[in-house]
Amino acid sequence: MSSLARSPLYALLLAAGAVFFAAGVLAPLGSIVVQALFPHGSFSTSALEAALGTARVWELLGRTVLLGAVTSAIAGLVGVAYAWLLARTDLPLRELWRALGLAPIVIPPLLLSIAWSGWMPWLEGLWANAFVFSLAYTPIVILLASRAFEQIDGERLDAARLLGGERAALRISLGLAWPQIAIALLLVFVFTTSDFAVPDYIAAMQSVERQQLSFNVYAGEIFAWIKLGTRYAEGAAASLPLAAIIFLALALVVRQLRRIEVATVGSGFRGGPPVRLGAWLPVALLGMLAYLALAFFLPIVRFVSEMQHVNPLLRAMGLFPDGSPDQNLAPAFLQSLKLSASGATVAVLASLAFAHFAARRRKTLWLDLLWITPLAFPGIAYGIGMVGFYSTHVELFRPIRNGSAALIINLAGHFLPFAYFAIQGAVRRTEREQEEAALVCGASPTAVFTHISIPLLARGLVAGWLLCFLFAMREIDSFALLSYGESTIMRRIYEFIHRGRSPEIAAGCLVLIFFIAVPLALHALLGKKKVEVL
Amino acid sequence: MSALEIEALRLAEGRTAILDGLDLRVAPREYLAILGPSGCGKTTLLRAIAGLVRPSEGRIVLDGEVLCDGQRGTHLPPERRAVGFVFQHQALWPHLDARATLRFALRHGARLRGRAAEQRIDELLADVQLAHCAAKAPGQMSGGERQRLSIARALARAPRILLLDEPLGPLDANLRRDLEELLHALHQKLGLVTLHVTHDRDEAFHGNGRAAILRAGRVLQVGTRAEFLAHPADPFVSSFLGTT
Repeated sequence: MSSLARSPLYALLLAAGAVFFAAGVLAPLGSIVVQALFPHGSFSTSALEAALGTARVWELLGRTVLLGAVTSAIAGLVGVAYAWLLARTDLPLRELWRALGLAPIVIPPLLLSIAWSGWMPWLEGLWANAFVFSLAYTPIVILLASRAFEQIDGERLDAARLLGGERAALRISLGLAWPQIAIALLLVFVFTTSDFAVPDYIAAMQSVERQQLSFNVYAGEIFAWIKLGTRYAEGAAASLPLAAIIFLALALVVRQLRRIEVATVGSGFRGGPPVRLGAWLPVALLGMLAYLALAFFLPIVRFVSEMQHVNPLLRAMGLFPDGSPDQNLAPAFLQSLKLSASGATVAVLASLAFAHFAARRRKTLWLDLLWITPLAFPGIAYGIGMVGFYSTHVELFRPIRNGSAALIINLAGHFLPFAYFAIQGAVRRTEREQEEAALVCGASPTAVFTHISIPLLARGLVAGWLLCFLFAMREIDSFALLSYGESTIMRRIYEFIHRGRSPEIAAGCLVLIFFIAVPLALHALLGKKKVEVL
Repeated sequence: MSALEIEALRLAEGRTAILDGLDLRVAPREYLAILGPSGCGKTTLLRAIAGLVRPSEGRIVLDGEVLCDGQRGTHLPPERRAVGFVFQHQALWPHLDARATLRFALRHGARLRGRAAEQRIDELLADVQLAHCAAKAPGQMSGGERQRLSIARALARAPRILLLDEPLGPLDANLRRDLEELLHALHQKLGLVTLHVTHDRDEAFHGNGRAAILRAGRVLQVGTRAEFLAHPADPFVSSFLGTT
């Protein structure tokens, strides 16, 4: 066989990936199903009946799906328009607008909701949640759609222009970019429907009377079973319908991923001429600035203004001697950074060989569907699975469940799909012949893997790591159930904000945004020195 | 005595036979063109000789060594076949410049390191007239330069056979002529058995060499242009070569 699977290192990585997948994905997810179906050690539908037997549950599910759909629609409209302006028009300072368009990704949705509830304390209901989520997730649409628009061959657009002018070219552009746009919309749907912290916070900010009418979502319902008496079986059972819906959305993502046509080496690719905005330029700039103001600048301004002074910032960083231990967030920041970096590293290492294997073989759709499954379970459900499995009576698991290892497994397992698909995308963009050429040169499969494959995949590895890191730094839902997770910065902010606003919270939010932004900014800067692609 | 012997080679993808009982014999030092329509199995034949695909049946013997034998389950991995391969789209490594590319090939294919390797790199670059590009990455080279680097890489491990998969395909007319001359000059100098896949008839019969015509995974006829003109094996050969 000419495959790299003959390499001992490759085989070792496959084995390590499989072991981690079993421990970090199959075990917690299996535990959710077992808890739901075997609540007292034997098969019983009691948990399912208790969790799903009321009309309220299905109403919440419908409401959550509606929130996901509305958010995807708003993020889609704003994101696709922004991406088209970036990729296909003569917009001045294009790179600046691109960086600004992606900047809101560094603000976790919970922090956006904190900022906006400061600007507009009356925020509530479906539209308030959709507003926050769409601001937070529009960068995903901008990123994927702009890349798709840029990959369209100019000749294809010229052919459309000859038939029906710019309008025809735009329609063709949208059609060609549709797989990536669809992926972005589905991801927005998935992230929105999985979240419980934002709707929970927005509801909690209302007066007691208004809270009765507040907009609860399904993930909150799962948490309620735990909060109201640690009923893990019912919580696990409640998570199954939402997981099924999200899995369906993710399966569509996988299907679309396989449809993406990548501009390949030697294809004679050339980008099309940009569309002249002319008199529409001020309108376009105004629209882009409006989005950036809502999603990035105003939230930052809010935190800066609430901080009032630099002292809270120094206290948050543990640099101010008279700060109380409660105000010193430095240990929580360090804990979050350590856990997120470790989780991302584990996820990348566990995914590397599997992603390569799946991209180089045929009939691996099943593998893709398997590896995307963790994202189908909302964070809170994942936490139930982790607690369920690692709190069993097996002595081997005791050190895991009582330490940061459980959190690292949780983060790496839950966000594994980001690493897997980022690496797989990078493998698909490289030619199989580049590896074959090295084999024919006489290099061993291990030498090919280490000297050719991994350097060619470097950008995918970095992108996968950054995505895992980004989502790990934001993670809050599953940590609500893992006791050690209380020490993370998102948990600290979440707890403090429910007690009221303070300069220290604003400072903590700013520092968190900074820590998320730094690796992404470094990547953006260093990424400019691109690996040459023929 | 043949340098390369291929007997009853079969390879299928799903239910489609790509190579369907292909037989071919190539003499020592011979430069043989492989000619045929798209999808006839030309590239797959080269990939099977290189060990990049595994035929289900048949044998490939190079210089008396069995590279592959479907009946006995023998399949020598590509890195142990001492084959030079010039890929259709070059398959160069964008993160390595010309010198690093050849250093990698020499280190792994010829176990050459240090000063000996550097000296050999200089020779190889000179052989393909690429000395001025030693520090350039593939992305900084012209199409012709990239193809020359691809040829140098194929020659680095001192192969027993050189496999060229449409090496002139992506180049313009002038570059094609230059590179064609280079390939034949290298063949004269090194005396390597060379298989040159092409769909261009003029390219195939350069210098009155022999060509093999493939169709549907089989060799229909092997011969010189004159032999094809005088005795075409069947109407397809005549029509493909435009002699009817």
